[in-house]
Amino acid sequence: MSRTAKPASRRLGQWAALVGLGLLSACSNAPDAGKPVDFVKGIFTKSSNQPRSAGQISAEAASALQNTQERLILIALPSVEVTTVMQRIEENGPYATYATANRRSLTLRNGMVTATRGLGSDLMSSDVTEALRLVSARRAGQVTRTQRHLDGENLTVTTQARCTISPGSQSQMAVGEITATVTTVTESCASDERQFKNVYQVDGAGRILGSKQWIGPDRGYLSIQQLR
Amino acid sequence: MKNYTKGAAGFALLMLMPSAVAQADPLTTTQTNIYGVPGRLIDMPTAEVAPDGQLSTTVSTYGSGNNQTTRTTLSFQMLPRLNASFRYSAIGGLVPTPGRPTFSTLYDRSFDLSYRFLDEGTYHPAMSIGLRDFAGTNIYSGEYIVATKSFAQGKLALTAGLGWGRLGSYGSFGSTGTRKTQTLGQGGIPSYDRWFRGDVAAFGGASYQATEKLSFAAEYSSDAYDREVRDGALDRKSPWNFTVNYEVSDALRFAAYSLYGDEVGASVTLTLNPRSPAVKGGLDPAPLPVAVRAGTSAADLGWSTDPVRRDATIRQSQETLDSLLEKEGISLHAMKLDGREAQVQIRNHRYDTRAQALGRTARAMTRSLPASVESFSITLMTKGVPSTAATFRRSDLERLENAPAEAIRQVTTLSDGRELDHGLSYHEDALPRFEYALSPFLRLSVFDPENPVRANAGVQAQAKYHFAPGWTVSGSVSQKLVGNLDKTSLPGASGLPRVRSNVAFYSRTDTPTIDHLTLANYGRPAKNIYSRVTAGYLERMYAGVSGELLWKPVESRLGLGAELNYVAPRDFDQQFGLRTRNTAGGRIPEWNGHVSAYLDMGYGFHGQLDVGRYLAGDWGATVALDRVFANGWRIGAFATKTNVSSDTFGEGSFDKGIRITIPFSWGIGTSSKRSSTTVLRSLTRDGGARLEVEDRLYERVRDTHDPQLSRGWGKFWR
Repeated sequence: MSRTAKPASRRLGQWAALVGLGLLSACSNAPDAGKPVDFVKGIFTKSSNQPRSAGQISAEAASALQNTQERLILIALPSVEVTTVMQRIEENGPYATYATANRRSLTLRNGMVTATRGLGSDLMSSDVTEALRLVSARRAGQVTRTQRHLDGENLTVTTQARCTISPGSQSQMAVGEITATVTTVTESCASDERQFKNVYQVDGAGRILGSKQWIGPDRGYLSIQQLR
Repeated sequence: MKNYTKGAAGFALLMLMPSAVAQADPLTTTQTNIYGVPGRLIDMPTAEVAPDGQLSTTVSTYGSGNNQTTRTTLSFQMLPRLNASFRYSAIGGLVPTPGRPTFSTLYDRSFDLSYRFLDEGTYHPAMSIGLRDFAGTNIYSGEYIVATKSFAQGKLALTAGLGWGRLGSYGSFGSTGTRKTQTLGQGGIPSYDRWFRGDVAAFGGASYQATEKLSFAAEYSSDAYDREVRDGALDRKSPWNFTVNYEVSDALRFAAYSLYGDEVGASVTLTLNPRSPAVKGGLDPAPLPVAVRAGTSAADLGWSTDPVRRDATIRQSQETLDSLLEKEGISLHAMKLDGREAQVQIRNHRYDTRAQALGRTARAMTRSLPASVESFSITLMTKGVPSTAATFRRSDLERLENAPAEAIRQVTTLSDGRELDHGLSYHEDALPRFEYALSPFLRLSVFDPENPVRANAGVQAQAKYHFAPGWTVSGSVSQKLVGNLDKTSLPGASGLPRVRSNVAFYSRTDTPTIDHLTLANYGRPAKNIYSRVTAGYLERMYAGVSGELLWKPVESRLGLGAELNYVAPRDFDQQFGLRTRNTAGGRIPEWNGHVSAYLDMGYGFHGQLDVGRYLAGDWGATVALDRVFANGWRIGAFATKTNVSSDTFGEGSFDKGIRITIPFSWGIGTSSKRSSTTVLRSLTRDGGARLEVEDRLYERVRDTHDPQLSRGWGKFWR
């Protein structure tokens, strides 16, 4: 479920740099020796993810629910045209990590995204304690949230945003095995560079069951729906 | 990021940096002019700069038939304010100077430097000072001081400047001294005796960004094209030049030119920026998360006291760890496990950022080792010997998995892996190991004074056999299939033994060649000391024995090395024979060697100084300075001066060049330890030539040591 969103000529430039300046290994038994096809694949091929119909997605969700007792989420990342089911694979204190079979993962804290891995331009870590407290409690207030990404040199870039949290109307949710009354809570944020708005659907126990959250400048918004 | 203490060299570099890098400076452009340097005019320079770190290649051409001129320029924004460019030009229509070599097209190499000493302000322009073609033959030589001011939210830029040399040859209004015409030495030496001397003229221009993609510019040129007009290569009817420039993408641009009222030209520019990889942070699969131990399990030491349970637990832990690491492109080399501590040695095949290999190994250990094990030490192996060891507390890994990477760095201890290298048992696959590879090869010679590109291509088979700790037999055999490298002509006799200048003879053979065949031993004789001894057919031209020692503490930014070589020249067919040491220019000495200092100066700069005796027996020093990016890109230059006069050395006066290393991971978007290095150097001559031996120590340990290891620490949890 990965896709590099780069203009063709940028890819061409990088390809030309590699081919023009380097020699490609053709065959080897050495681990991770790399093959020419890998470069061509890595740089030219579009992801094999075909946009899937709503029917196909709900069939995938239904079969996942049947096959495991673990927590499941359905995620959509429109910037790379990906929709997929993820299963909880590990917990560390309040953090839960969900992953796909092809090793893409998300780390959530009570439904709030704190990290992504393998999506490209990953969110490396976040400080969301204050935001989570208000959103769970469905209370209004102002908080600071911190997100960390890697820049083009692999150096950590920290972005702080001031966010205003405000609870909204109530509605009914019935998705997968979830049936609940949820309150829509919005979190409007502004950092030095940009503005973004997260939307959460929170049940009476303070669980975030559905959400649309901003994960960074390259990947944009991520939608998450709890299925169980 | 770790804060490093500022060394004196780093401080000096800091002074060159602007106090703050303007993010949206309207006078920062990815556009280049017809000379391939940043700027939106045509022949004339501006005070514009490229984005920091940008590397662009521009191919421009004008004229037709015998009068066609093509320039290929590689331009690098070394610092936010400092730009350096290398240009290879094929100039048509010139008449050879009597007494100089004849030609139909003149192939010329030139270097430019420009420095912006003043950034734009609300009421004052940006200002730059620059040297064009500042060394060597001076075909394009000119100096300038130029001011550029932007208007209309950066859409319009006006430029005015003063030029000397070529840039002062039309409409000059005065002069500053007399400009020498004699080339210094044998060319290739900075012609400081000409800079800012002779006639001065004014030039100017305007550029306008019409749309996001399209821009126009007009200029008044102070270049009279004296020699071209004299030789009838062109007819300069007007001082006005015009251009239209189209940006296809961040990486690609086209431009068309109208020149001096008589000619048209065109250019294409390919732009790369080390800071713009295929995917930020890469597309590697997600790591396995840390497995957190259940509350009381850490106290259970029962497994380690009962010998039967102990053996079974160790075996099972090792199997699990090995299989988890294998999926990450890492091999478990050796391991030691007791009740509270685990030590592993790993061979990292995949991660160019070593911190990522440490992070993945540490997490795999949380998923495979008994809960009572609290201390993890991971040693990165290089060439079969231990380099850096990183020691973690397992509870820190559990506690800080979701914290910034800097937090785990602060509680990580780095040390010399040699100190932990006892009592480990080798993994069954660790030794012996055999690796082979069969691949195409391409050996290029570009931008030489006779021909833009020459190449040999063929197939190459390589094999390595690691038969004992630190011991490797390594060989490589090539078969040339096509090529014209042998057409390179032999430079005239110099006062030196022919140690490199007869390289063309080595490209002539059509039978298989042994590129190298060596027995090498890598060792760790003492703490912080690395050693290497390589014997056999060391490189294409020399056989012999090469020994090296390196002192490099894990957390030191300074490394010191010494190398001593005994060499014998190989036969031109590059099979098993040797040839006589006697050459037309003298006898090739048996011994050569160097002492070296390596310094990470901070702020992304790395310097190297080698002092010693070169292949031809000449004594001298090589200085190298590279800009090193945390993601592995390196762009730098080097120069060697020995006790050989310019006249003895021949064309170019001394050995020098530019080198660029591009990590594959930057282009393919997933981790890879492979990279490609391109060296553009002056002509292959005999002075200042060094032996080329595989896997010198510093380059093998550098990425596993600080500062580079900690610079990449942001990828620990990636």
